[in-house]
Amino acid sequence: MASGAVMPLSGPIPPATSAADLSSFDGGSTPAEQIPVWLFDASGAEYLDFRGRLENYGGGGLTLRIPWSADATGSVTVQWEAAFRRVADDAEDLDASHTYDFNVSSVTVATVAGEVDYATVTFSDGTDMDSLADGEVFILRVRRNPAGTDTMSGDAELHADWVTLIET
Amino acid sequence: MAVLSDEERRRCWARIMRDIAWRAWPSDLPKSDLRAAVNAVDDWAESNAASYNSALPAAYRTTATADQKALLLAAVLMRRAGRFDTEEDE
Repeated sequence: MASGAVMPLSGPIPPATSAADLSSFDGGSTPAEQIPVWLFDASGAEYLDFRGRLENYGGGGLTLRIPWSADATGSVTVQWEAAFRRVADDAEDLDASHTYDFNVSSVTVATVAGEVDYATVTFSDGTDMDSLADGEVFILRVRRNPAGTDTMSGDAELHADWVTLIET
Repeated sequence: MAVLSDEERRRCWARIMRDIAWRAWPSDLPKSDLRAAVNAVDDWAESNAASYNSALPAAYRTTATADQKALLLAAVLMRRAGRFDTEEDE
């Protein structure tokens, strides 16, 4: 399949612990839109999972697009991270632990508070995406890592239903 | 009541970001600046403890413990910030 092909995702699914919180705020139109967001805290790592599968994957690697917003402007940054858990046929025991190997994207908050920024996390074909192969299903784990380059003191608002996984 | 330890200040800072921050906070503020503010408020509370105590009415001043005096100050300030709801507000 060509670059730009969109891989199906379902979810999000909050993990059993350290999950982001679901909330919403009102948009500015009349009547006001209800904007659902998942809130990622600034003081401890919080997570959200998605389930998906690779369909007609051509080996070009993957790009995860994470639309997010915040009630902030300026030069503060958020560190988004993402990782895969490959669920190969008759090979992955979901009762067993998996070590998620996160790729990192440190992004500056949008120009205006309330604007949506499109953060991207990229994965090269192969071990970088847990060696996922065409036709296989997977768990995609997204987190905000409050350490390192993450400087924003407020919550990061993930628009989860707009998260998109694309062949690079 | 002694000034908070560094770990106590860190936990206070983390709790503020965790429980208070969403859309009620100057999120433009970097974490480091927020932490500096926590430290400064704790230092100010220590430096002005005697002045605050003197401002309390004698009955409360001579009856309440240090913790109770701190809670009173916190309750009033939280109410001023719109974060101390009461049954009458409903």
